[in-house]
Amino acid sequence: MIELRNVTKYFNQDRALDNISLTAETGKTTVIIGQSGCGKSTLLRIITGLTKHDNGSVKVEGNEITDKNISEIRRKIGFVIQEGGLFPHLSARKNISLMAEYLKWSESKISNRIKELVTLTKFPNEGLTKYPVQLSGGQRQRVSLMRALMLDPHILLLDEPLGALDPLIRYDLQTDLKEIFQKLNKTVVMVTHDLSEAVYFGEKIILMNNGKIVQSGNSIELLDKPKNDFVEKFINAQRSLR
Amino acid sequence: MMRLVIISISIILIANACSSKNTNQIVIGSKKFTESVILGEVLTQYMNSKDFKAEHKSQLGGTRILWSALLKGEIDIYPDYTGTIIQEILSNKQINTWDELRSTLADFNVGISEPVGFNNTYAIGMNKQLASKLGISKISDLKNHPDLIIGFTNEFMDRSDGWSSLRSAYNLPHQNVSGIDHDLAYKGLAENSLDVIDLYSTDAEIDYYDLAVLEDDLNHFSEYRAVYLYRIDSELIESSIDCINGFHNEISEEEIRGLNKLVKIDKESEKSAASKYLLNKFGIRSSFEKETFSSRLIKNTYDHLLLVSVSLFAAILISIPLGIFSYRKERLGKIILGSVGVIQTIPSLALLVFMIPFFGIGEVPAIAALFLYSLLPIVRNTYLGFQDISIQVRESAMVLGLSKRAILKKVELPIASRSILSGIKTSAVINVGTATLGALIGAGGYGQPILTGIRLDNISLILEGAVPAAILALFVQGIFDLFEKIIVPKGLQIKAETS
Repeated sequence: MIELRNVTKYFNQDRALDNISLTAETGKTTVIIGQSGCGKSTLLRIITGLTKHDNGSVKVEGNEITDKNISEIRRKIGFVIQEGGLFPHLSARKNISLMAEYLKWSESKISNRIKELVTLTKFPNEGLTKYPVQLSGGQRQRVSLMRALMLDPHILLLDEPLGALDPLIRYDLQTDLKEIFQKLNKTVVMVTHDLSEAVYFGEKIILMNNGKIVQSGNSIELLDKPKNDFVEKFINAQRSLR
Repeated sequence: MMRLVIISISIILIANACSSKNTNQIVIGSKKFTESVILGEVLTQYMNSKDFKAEHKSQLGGTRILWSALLKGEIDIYPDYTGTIIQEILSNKQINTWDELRSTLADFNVGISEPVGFNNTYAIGMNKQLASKLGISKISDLKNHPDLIIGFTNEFMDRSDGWSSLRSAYNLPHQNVSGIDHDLAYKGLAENSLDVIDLYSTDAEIDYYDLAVLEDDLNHFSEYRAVYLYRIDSELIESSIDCINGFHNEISEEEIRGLNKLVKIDKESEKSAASKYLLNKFGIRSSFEKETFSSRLIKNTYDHLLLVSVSLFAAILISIPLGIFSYRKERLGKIILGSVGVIQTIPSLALLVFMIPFFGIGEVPAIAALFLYSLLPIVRNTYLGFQDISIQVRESAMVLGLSKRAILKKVELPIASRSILSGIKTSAVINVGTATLGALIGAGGYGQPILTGIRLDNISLILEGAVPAAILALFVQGIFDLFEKIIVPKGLQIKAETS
């Protein structure tokens, strides 16, 4: 479970996050949606400790994050970002196993875990020896997902994981991701700007604007009972794009 | 940071330990022109025949280098000229008599020998035919021929008794005056691209090129009597004082001109010329090691590799951490990058001379200078290599939970390795070239034959240094290309299969 209480973040004079409180419950998929610059990525960065919040409290699995426990907390979190952020100098397999090797897992334990992950993510086995430049965009995201899941973290964070993909590949991965989330039963927080994606994945959807939460609830609530003009406008704008 | 400091200190200590010289050995230096090398060699062989252990560090550079090396105790003795000492070394002192000269030098802990005989003063010379055609026999005759093209050595252009004072003393109107290397000036005269040059009155070329030496009718040039300068704070030198004074009025102008000719025109080595002189004059059979082409090549290669490898190795040790530090601390980093950039702009020769007060002469100052030159490419490329790592890659590594150290070792250094290696390669190749200048301060290497070759106008000697230096540069480049294949991770070497 992830709990944020009254979190505020400034970048110089600009308030990027304004008194944010939210809960991402265990076993559920929470989607944070909003236009670019609304603060949704900053939120994820604060949960991973990449950015420090100015005020408020951030608890991961009941523990307040501090400089001291951040490494420990990070190992409970799997993080997938838009471009994948794969290590270009390592093969797909080494990308996935880097952290496990660092923690001195046995070779057989690593192999078994990778076998599980390959099956789970439907990644072609022969792709493991390839380097990131040799993989397609969709394959890169699958490797990034495997890397995030390697240590079997309780929490999975995804920052626009489908953002840079072609429509067809995007469709495939979207379907597979949903299946994976349901199988794993983890706390999933996904950030996107795409309403249909949010509706597709989100058991809980949080709409943000200008560093504030505008509305949160399930998709039906959001679509049928927009809280104010902004929400309505946001929904209509995305619908008209279809 | 602490480790950096320790490493640099230990490098300096090791380097200094290597340079400490044998206490029983007398080290004689000489400047980078033939007569000085001959005088150095004559005294060296003479001392060795008198059971002293003398070593000759020949063609070390100009007056400033020899003088500071003497003050630092890097050399014990070197030949110089009274005029040079008074006009250049002690130019801010008022010296009129021999005793004043002796006592002023003593303030620097330097002694001066009795004059060895000849006076090698500056003189103005021109083609004999041209001189008689224009009716020029004295310097003051030049006044009536303002169109003559004049080429003076760079040293003569700058000296206090050089061109500017000569011009005002004789009221000369010439505008066409340019600075040129002494050995090239003779060629210019022979090819008629120059009409008037400065020369030394003992130059072998005066006879060879059939030159007219113009009379210094206003007695402008001071005396340049050859002497040996030596350190007076050493018992060893004190005990050899009879040797140092052994040539009092023994070498005449005619004799030194003959010796100069033997080397410059007849292409004998200074060692053999000095040996012949000692045999003819004093009946001393001196021994000297004859150098063969291969023994020279081996020694020069060894010296050159030593200069390049030690300086490069030290630069790698310091520069990579410095580059990483510059990336991490942006403000300090700018200062670091700026400073190593400024070092690069110092002319190599000047940097070599700057090193002498700290490290004396020989390999150590040359290595120090080369080390400083090697910094920029490596620091900069390390910095750029780190800067090029995408923020996504870096944050992915952090979020995985890797420690800072592990990120450096497993992610940042491997990704930056190609850039770092190419910086090292650049430094290495530049180093191979720049190290040839090390010969000017006694560091040996491929610069040694190049320097001698330029001085003696001997193309094959120049090639003896230039060709191996070029081959070494190519070799170094090849080695690093190979390293790149081995060290740079394969994932960074392959190209994308799909765009």
